[in-house]
Amino acid sequence: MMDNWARVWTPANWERLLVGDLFNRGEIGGLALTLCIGLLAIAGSTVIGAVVGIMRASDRKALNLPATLYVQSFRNVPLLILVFWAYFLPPVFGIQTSKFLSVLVALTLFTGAYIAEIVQGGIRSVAAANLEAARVLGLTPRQIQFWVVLPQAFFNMLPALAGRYVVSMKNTSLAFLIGLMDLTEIGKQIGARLMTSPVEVYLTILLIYFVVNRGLVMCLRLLENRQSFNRLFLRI
Amino acid sequence: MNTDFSILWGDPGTLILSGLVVTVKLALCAFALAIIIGVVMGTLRWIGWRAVEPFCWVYIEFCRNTPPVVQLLFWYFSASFVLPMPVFMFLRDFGYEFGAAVIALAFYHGAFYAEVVRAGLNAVPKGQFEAARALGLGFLQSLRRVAFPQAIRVLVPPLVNETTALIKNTSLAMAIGVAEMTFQYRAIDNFMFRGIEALTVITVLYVILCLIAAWLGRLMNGYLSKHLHARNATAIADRQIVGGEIIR
Amino acid sequence: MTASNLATAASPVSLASKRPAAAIKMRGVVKRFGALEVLRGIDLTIERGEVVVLCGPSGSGKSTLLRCINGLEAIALGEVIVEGEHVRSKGSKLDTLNPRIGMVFQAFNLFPHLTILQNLILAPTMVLKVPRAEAIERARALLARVGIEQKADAFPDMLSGGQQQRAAIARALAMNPELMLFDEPTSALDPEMIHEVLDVMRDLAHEGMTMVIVTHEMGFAREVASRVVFMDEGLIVEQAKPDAFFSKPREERTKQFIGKILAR
Repeated sequence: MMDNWARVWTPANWERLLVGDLFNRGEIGGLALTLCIGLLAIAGSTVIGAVVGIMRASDRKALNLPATLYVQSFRNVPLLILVFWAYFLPPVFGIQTSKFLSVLVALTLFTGAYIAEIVQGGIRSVAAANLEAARVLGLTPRQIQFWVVLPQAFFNMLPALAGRYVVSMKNTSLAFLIGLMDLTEIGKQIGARLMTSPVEVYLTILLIYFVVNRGLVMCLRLLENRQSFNRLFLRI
Repeated sequence: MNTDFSILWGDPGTLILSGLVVTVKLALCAFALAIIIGVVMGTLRWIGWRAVEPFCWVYIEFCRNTPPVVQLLFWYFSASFVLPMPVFMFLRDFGYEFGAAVIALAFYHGAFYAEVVRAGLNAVPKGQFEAARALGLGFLQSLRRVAFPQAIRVLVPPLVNETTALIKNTSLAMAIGVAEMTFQYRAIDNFMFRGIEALTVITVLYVILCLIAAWLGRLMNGYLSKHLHARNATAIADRQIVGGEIIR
Repeated sequence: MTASNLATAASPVSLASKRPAAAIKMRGVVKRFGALEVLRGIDLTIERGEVVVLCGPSGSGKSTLLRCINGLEAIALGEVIVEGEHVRSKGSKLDTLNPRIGMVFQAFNLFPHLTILQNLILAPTMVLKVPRAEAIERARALLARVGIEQKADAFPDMLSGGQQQRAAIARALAMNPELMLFDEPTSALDPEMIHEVLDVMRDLAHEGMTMVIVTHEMGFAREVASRVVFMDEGLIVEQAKPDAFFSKPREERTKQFIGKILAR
């Protein structure tokens, strides 16, 4: 049993798991690639989600309708199918695409739809009584939006957002299904080469994902403390 | 671009249809098993029983923080090492890939159902359960007659969310060679080069499956509000559910 | 042996065959929430038929004391004996509590998904295995007794607070309790509804029910209680008959408390 672990946890294997073939072939892979896709998708989907979420919370049909359409259609399709669309549709129109880009685009749009729902819910969660209090104090609508609604909404959203970010980090693992050298693919290769120790190999990959995602959650938890949150985002 | 959906009448259509059957079967089996895991685990966590708490925590945190597709690979490649021999033999006779996919999806989504169940139970005011017990009702009686009927109303929307996630995750089973819809689409693309048409059809089919799950959820909600009359069932605080997400 | 006796014999806290003198006996009861000691050594004996009012400033531990009597809270040290039986509670949700100790809560805690009648027959049919028809008949009689028989098929949220609390009392009575615990039964009520609940409690006291009541209604205590127990910081400071308690309290803390209450 210990033998198996020793065969899996070699420096060479760890190097491949962490950065792929970066040093011997100059191709980034492994955990580094996973993080690249994950963090870029998180950033992109937050921007998309914020815009679409505000549109969803609006009463104007022209804003609300397209936003709803986007959210509903992207939430009801498996991410894997979106990845295939992003990879195989552009060539039909003669557009060149890469595996990396298609995974990134699919993951960003997919996560964006979920984040839009979170943003909308966050905005709706700010109590009406609170708005009245702000109006009574003589704040203008814009001031109310900026200093009362959005900070509260964002704060209420944080736990849900953290959950979504972790899901999106986990979802990067689909990249291996179209042949990217991400953490899962490298792990699968090592498993195939060693043959007799799949338990150890896959537990190792699962452990790496676990540590990364727990780390991400811990960082986001810091923001859930109102004081550190205000210090970062709300200077009054 | 020229698309020709008529090619789907014939072999590709049959393949997709057989894939759809496998997808539905996989989703149903995994759902049934995951719900059982979820109710048991969620209730155990809600009790806050010290002896089992660490065990539940590890299970749920593990599932929340690791990708389902890697768990799928783990079960597929290591099942013969970690499962008891009789279970493994049963699975092999059952169709090994399919069995591994059911176990992996049920194990993964069971953790999420557990959190949904726990959040639902937590949303029932504490006094309700105390009142039931003060009347002498046993634990299971209080749970069944008082806590669950009230919890289930707040539970349905996140339950539907998790179930659509489960349906969507069945597509991952192609990674271990289960012949479900996505797998069949890849086959059609590889051998007949009719990728876009097939992709369109299975996309629509997935949307329909997800909408059916949502519709069933709404039916259930309607049924519950009609037959349980829990009109003032307490809403989970805004922070607990935002955008239908369960919160860690 | 009646059906109800069978049911109690099956529950962990069964009644002893010979009836002991005291309904409740607490000796050296200590209760902690983490580092905080909420009850710091309580000795209290309550005879059958007594109506004991527990009073004291908030945080003095009176509600906790009540919850230790039926085992909703587990005690750290000491013992609680109800009708000759030790109350053994781990404070876990898995415990089954003695169905013969009725409890009325501040927040009523009627089950919102059941009608008033269903609320009343749930425990009798499930715990005491009373036949449904018989349970319904008894429930209707009890509802009539607390004056809300016309609300039998209504849901709790359609009732006023006072009606809800009366229904909750009827629900507890439906189990034929040996004694009743009241945890601030009128604190969540509007002033005009308080008296209708107190009336029901007064009738109950006159019928000889053993009652332990946590309340701030000092007028009611003076009129109905056979004994007033004053608690502060987890200890029993003073106990006396209501007349003596209100007219010549011995302890300084009691005087201050009564002074504040009467000044309101």
